[in-house]
Amino acid sequence: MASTSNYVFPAEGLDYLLGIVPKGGTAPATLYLGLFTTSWATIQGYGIANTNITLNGGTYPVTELASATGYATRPSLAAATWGAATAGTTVIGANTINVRQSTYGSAITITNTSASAWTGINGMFIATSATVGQASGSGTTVLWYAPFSDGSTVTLAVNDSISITPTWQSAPYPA
Amino acid sequence: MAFTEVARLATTTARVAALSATNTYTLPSAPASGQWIVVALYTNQGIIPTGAITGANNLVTSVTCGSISLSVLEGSTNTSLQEPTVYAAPYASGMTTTLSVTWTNGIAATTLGVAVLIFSGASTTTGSMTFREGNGAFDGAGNTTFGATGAQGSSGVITWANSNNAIPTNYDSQQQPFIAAIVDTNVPTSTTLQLARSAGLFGVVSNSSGQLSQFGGTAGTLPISSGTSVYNPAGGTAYGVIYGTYGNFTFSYTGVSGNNLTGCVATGLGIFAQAPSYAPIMLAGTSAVTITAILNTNSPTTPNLNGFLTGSTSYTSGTASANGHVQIGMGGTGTVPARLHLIGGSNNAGYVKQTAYAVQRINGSVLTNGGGFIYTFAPATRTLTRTSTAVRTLISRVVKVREKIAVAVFVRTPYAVRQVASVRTAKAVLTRTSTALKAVATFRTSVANALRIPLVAKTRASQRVSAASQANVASVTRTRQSVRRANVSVTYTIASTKRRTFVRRAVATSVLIARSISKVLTISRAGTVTGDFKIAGGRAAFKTGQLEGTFDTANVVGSQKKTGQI
Repeated sequence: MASTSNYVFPAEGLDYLLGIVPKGGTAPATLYLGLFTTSWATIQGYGIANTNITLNGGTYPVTELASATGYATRPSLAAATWGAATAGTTVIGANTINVRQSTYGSAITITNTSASAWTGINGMFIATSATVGQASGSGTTVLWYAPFSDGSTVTLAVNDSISITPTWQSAPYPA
Repeated sequence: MAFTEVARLATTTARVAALSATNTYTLPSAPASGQWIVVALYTNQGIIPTGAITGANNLVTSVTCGSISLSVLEGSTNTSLQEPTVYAAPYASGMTTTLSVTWTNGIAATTLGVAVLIFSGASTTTGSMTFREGNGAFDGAGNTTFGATGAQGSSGVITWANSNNAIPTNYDSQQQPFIAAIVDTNVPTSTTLQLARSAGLFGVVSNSSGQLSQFGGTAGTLPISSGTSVYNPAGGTAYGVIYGTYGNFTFSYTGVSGNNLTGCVATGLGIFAQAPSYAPIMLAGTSAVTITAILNTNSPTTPNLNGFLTGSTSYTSGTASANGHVQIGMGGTGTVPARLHLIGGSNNAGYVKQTAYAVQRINGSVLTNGGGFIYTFAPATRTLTRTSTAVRTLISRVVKVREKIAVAVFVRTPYAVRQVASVRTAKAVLTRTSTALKAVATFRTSVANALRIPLVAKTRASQRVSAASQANVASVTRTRQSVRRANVSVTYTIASTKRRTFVRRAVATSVLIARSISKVLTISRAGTVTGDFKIAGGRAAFKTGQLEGTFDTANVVGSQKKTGQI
């Protein structure tokens, strides 16, 4: 059965988070925002196994936007810039859940300054490494993937930009 | 980034009497980096640009800015009458203030209109033009002919791009630079102002006394020409557009009285406040002040479109005119008046699509020919705005674990406490008097003593219910899994004839209970324990709940109230 979720916390990301709380690992001061080109339908098609998805390889791969001028490194997300936790809601299945959420304090803008258009950008992920193209298990751990909120596939012509604002929610599900 | 005008052509060119020539125009400034130059051409015999099909009379062989040749915008290779042909190019090294239009003309004189606009704010990259609205630019009409019906109707108002065919702002909802090139014919000759709005024409209005202006004209009454058809809002609000000295602006009015519009209030104050507007240089006696082609939105008070008009050309008979409109060709003079408008602007941000109208009105005439194109450009800076949200349902798994803990708590603590307490109260208590035997006997045989009966009967009934609470005892058994004890106490406090029989159904054990003691029954196998005891004619039974077996015990404690004689 295909997943219907509009986000995925892969196993590696869950493990990473558990390693911090409750296991007392050191929380990173900086995370990184990446772009992926795999269609969200493909990711959903992995079904419940999509928690086993991995970046840039593996049985359930998610492919990152290729490195290019303007996307040579993943933009950083400073821990201190995430906004204060506020109340919000989300819909999980048939339930509307009260959540706590934090939105990054400023939009992350990525500009295509390469010589050709970037096509097929389907969403973003948050990773622990800035190295574009680096695969899961090879220095990169992805905490979550999500498509853009409007579900659009983005093409960035030369000199076009995309401005992304990520929001991170924690849902006490079932509430 | 919004579209911004840098310069427009405002020059005079002499009539050229030749079969072919190059017209040269001097631009106010040379295009610079980050800018576009757009040249709209028109003849009343049609234009065939270089590279298009041949055979028509007027062939524009090249349009250059300095040493740079401009290209025809895609789709703008019109050969029909009264249609503009648009050349455009982003800045390139070699562009100067010299604009050259080379043409051939095999027939008698015709009229060549040239409008030039230099603007910034659009991308300079190749292929940045993202949209062309050619056919049907005038919604409801064909490319070349404004029929008596259709959008124009008899009002002379042309609706351009309705809500279903709007100017797209297809890069999110950013401001969308655009240019529009429009040709209309039948240049009016009167000097009266025209009054129109996007949804209808109201007639001819005179604003010569300055009742309204975009520079702070106050509310007032506008006279209209006698006999013109004017829409009467009858107390409501209608809107009109006035082509004023400094450009178009809108106003509202509330009624019509005789030949006056009443309750007029100017809106959209400011030169470029509302619609693409510009006051072209009108040569004396050659043209009229009239409504020119403008772009307006479906809201007369909300300036969704901003822009300006340039290169409005006016027909002149064989002489030079402003804005690049000139007679060309060998013979005579052109006889078909026409105007060419080149409009540039940007819609406001926040619109995915922009509805626009070209409002055109010829005084006392119906537009019979014309055409236009609208092109949108990619903004120089385009930014898509997106958000992404991930819900960390990791927490949900923790909660699920806590649910299990909650189940354990349910078993272990809250119910256990309550149920133990219940057991503690699950006593088989007999109350009797010192003459209980006699009293009970009396009770059994007859209702001999009304005073006693309720006392004994009520007491027993209450005790039995409590003692026989299987649910309570059973719960104790389950909740005290580690102890597995169930206590039922019977205490005797009198010395009298008594018989106690305890029966554990499972083990069928009878137990004698001495007075004033508690009896603990050891359960050897699962089952309930029932028992009764009879004391001096009184009898009470009890029943435990399900006991687990070998390690369970049932502590039976009886009590008998010592009272006086019945």
